[in-house]
Amino acid sequence: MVSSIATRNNVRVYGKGVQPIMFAHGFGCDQNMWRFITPAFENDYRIILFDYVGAGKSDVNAYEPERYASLHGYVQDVLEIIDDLKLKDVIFVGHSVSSMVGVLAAIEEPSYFSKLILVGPSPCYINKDDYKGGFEKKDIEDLLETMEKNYIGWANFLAPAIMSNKERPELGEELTESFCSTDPVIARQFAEATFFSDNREDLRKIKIPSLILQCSEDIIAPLEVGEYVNKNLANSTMKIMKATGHCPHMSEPEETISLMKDYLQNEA
Amino acid sequence: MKTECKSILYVDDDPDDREFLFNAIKNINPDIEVILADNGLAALDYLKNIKNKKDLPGLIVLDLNMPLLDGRETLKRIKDDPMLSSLKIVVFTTGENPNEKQSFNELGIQYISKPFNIQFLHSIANQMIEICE
Amino acid sequence: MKPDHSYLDEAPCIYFSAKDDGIVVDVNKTTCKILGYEPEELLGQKIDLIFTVATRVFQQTHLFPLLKMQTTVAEVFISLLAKNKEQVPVLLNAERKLSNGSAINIYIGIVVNNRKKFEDELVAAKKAAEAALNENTALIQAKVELLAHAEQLDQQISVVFKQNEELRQFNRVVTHDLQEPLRKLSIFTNMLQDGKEGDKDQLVLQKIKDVSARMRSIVSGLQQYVWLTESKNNYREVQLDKLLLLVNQQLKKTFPGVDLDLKVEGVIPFQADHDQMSLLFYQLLSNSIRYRKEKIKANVWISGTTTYKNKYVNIPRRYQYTHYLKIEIKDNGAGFDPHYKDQVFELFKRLNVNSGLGIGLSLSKKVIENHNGKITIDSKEGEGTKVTIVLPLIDVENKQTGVLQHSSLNK
Repeated sequence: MVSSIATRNNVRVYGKGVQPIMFAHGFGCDQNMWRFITPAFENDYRIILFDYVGAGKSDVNAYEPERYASLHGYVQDVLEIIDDLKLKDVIFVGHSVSSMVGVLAAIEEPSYFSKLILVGPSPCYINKDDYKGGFEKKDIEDLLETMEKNYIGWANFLAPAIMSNKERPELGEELTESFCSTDPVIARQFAEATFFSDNREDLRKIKIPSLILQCSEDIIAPLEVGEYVNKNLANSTMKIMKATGHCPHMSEPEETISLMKDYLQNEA
Repeated sequence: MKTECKSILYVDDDPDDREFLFNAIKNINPDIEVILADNGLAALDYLKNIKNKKDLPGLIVLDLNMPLLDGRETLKRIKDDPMLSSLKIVVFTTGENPNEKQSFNELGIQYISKPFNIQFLHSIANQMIEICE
Repeated sequence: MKPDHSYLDEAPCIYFSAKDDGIVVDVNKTTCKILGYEPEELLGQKIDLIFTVATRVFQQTHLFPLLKMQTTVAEVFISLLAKNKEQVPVLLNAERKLSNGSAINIYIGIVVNNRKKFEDELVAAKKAAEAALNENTALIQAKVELLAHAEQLDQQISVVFKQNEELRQFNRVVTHDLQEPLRKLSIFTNMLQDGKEGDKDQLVLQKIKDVSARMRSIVSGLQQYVWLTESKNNYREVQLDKLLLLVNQQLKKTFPGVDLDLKVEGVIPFQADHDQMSLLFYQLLSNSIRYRKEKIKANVWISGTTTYKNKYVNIPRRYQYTHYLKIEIKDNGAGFDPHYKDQVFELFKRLNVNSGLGIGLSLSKKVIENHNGKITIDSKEGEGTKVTIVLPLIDVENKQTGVLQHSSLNK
């Protein structure tokens, strides 16, 4: 049985406002990542939270390796959710790889989005020619190995490749109540899709106003990368944060909220 | 119960057809006011602007295939309006589609095919005036 | 100042703690020994020093959020980096404690060299089994055939939908659009025969001529439509600006005295049937000219981008993302009520009494369908109309849809 989009992506819609604002989690965890940010927007916006298929409490049975092997499958998740809810002029807030998912989605359907807020974006993580993404290929391979050896909330590690979850339903029910699941198969594929992606060319294709929130000392999306995005994304504003690391929405929520609100008010 | 037929509203985008039916009706009873509209929106506009219920047309003759708002859509909007839903309607169109004819009949709407010869218009106009009364 | 936990110092486990900003607050002797550092070299330093790059990423994407949300984490596998650059596999438990408003993250773990070796074997065995499965030639063959069938099926479903649609529209045209002028012919010739019109004979004869002309144009429009359903695509490289030059010449003949201001950008050369594309752009630009706001000038902007879409349109749960070309044709004409934006593609559907034949968009849609693409239209009354075309990009040499070898994309 095919689940509805709302169930498939564990979509939550709430908020007293009318203007839709959609929060997209990145590689790592799920919609709970935004829990320190969303309360500040509840009164004035209509908040949309979701989990990509394979993450959080999404329907893991809907996971298709062919679809989610590249970012385009994730882009389709976003567009399908917006379609299903019949939203327009969405403010899209994307963390990490979801920044690029947002950019790709905006290329497909520019009319769906009014603004993009990109938290720690990177269009390409691997160093290539003159471009410094921050990582060598070996680093990513090490990371993939780490993903393979972590089973936080795992669902189907030992099932052979040709067997789908539908034949082992008891495995699906053993997903623990962990909010950062690292199912070795799905998480590894998400990591591959993320860290081997190269969407530098796609930055130039949109003109939607966007805000780049760049953390200080972020090893995953370093300053040079943020600057590259700012340079190539027309109509973008970059703000360098005091927050360090890669998850300012968790480590410095007040600064994040304040920068977001400033931007949204000024761009209105 | 027979009442007097005071006015008939005819909606059709074709100027020739409008002229033919206008003449046919006037030939039978010149006192009947024949209001012509060349598209669904104009017809709806006219109907919605009538203040006095007594001035609403006794019959609406509706062509089906018109550009923009076609006959079916116009019909739906008339039926959806509580002020207009009780008005008598007759559908007047080229071609004869038995399925369509049946569905209109089930709604209490008569389905009349446009004739290939002007002479038949006379009896058709008579039929329409009778429905109007 | 180092807190007192001498028992922990020599305990057979990894122990260290750090603040949220990554500064190491505490570390035990065992850890230092394993990693080859003196305590002073680690205390007060960033914890990234003893993390491999992969672990640093994992810390940012998983560990930190987990600890912040759940305060506790168990059985996490990471690699620590020793001073001599060797990697040490560790199984970690961590706890986050708040004291005096600041947080401290405590990590303990055990080195799992042997366990890692065993797991490596397990994972390798699993991969070998998968590889063997994948290399199984019979299976590969079956998979290839399945893919080919899936593609065929997907296309056949599209064809059936199209044919049903065509039949429905033809039906409508025959039962109404052609009958109407025939009926008029009958009426007008009867009028002449009856001889009652007298001096109006010339008028009636003119009407007969007009109606006959309309029938001719309907039939000619149908012929074009049928030509499009039967023709096979003759793929050639289409350079849009060159094609538009030719189309513009045709337009000047149809609309003499009207200046068409055409701006084109970003449309890379693409493989398509040249004649059909000419027809398509001729029809779209005719519409823009016909519905222009100014008397002698029409403005049209054509822009292109490349995008990715799933190749499979009809079959669910099948995905292959390939390159597509998206072309937008925008004008600043009178526009139309967007409520009708799906209906306008129907054969002979006109939007107002003064429109042309009502066939331009149906023909355009046919051309796009012949190329396995999609066409949509949107408009705002008084502002203008936008037509969006999405075409799969084909590399004819590879005969594989969407595999793009085009030089302009590999810059």
